Amino acid sequence: MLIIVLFAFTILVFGFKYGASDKDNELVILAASSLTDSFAELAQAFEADNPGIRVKLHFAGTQKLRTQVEQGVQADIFAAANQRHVQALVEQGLVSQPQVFAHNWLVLVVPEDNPAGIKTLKDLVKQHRLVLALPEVPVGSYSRQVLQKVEEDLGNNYAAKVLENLVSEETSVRNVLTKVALGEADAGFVYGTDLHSDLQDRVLAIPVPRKYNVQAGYYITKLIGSDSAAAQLFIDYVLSRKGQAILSGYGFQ
Amino acid sequence: MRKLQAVVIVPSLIMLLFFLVPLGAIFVNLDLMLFLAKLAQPIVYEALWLSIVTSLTSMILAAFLGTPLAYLLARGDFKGKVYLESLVDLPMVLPPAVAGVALLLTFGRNGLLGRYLPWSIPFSTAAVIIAQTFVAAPFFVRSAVNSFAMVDANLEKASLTLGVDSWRTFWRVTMPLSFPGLLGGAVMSWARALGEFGATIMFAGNLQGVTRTLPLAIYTAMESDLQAAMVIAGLMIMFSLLVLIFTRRVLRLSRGVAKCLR
Repeated sequence: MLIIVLFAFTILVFGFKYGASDKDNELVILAASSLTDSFAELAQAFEADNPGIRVKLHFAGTQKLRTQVEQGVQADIFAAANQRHVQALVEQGLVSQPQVFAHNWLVLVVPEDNPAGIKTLKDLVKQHRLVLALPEVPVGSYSRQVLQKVEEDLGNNYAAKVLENLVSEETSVRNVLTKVALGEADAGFVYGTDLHSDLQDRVLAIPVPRKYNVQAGYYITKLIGSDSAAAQLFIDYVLSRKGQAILSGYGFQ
Repeated sequence: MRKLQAVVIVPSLIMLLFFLVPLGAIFVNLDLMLFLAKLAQPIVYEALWLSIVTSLTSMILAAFLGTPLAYLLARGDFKGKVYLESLVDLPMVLPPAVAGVALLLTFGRNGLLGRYLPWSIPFSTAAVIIAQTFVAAPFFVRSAVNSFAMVDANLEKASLTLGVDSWRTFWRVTMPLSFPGLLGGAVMSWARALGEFGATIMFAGNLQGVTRTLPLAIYTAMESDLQAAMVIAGLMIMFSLLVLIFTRRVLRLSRGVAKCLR
């Protein structure tokens, strides 16, 4: 019996400790995977400028973070890599009106030794091992939009031919990059900003021409349940000249 | 006596509820029509078929290669046996992600062995089977070692002194007596293979009909279609429960047969 009581007690104590937090000085931010490096630096700079506030960052695919918000996760801010998922949350009354804070573009990446010899988007119809993110992941849907745009120009069933080479659908943009950097995949679409990560030396980037590219808008918003005063402070910081300078350092526009 | 009863019953109830409530929660949200409708979706039935084929293949591989190894470990007496046994157990205690990285570094295109292979393994159904066998085979080996060790060595000796050669003694004496343990081990390794997730998604990737097994389909469906995820989860629970009950029955039957033979 004693053991059970101790067990229950432990759960209660730790539950409180990690569940509820001191709202006044803690800020929980849910951010898209592609913001991993830039938001880490933003949070650090924000903490330095606002002593006493601690920022906790959770990174995952935008679609996954959306599900977490729908399931009632305790957080203050949501930074998403596309509009669709944020808009769905606005309609459900879970977040306030979002603001665009950055833009990103897609690039095609191949391993540095480029075993499949892919030099342009046209080469993607050749047999190779293509890795994309799932269609629900923002970068996965943008990648398919790029293929559609190329098809409108070239015709010839381009998109379907390219997708025949698809060997895996990853759950985040970082997983796509890793598979290419390891040389397991021959090609994949990631954001231009992902090339500012540790893996950049192991891949070659092939720019996607403007007329085919898709501009990815990043949206930031406050969760309705959040009563943190620091939330607005952080959003303002991201939109400020200082915040924007940090973001552009990672290739955001 | 009263006190003992309370001490036994209360924690047992808590433990049982702890298992049953979350498993039941999946079915509370399901109804038959939804279940059938989702079952007809390719993401569900292709994953089901792939999971059945790969997990059974992994189980058979584990049994074929694991039985001789288990016999060696149970009967053999050699230096460093303890270390060898620990090594065989290792994949059971490691996080599947470790297995995923290890397999990529071995069978990946630039891997230790993978670079010499004429075809590439990651992103193929073969990769799924390799990942499953890697994490599941130790469950078979562990159980087989135990059941070989429990066979009375005197029975084998008697058979040998009666002029039956060692090959036939193995098949006529050792195998039938250790069969329940071998079967139990095979089911455990099958169940582990069926549930394999971490090593598979890292090493084999995630593509419908090729590498997207049931656990990966749940994970993928969670990104877009929570109901499909619940249906697959419910499917796995029912499927696994049926196999476990079936095995219990067969085990009881074969134990009875073994007793009669003695």
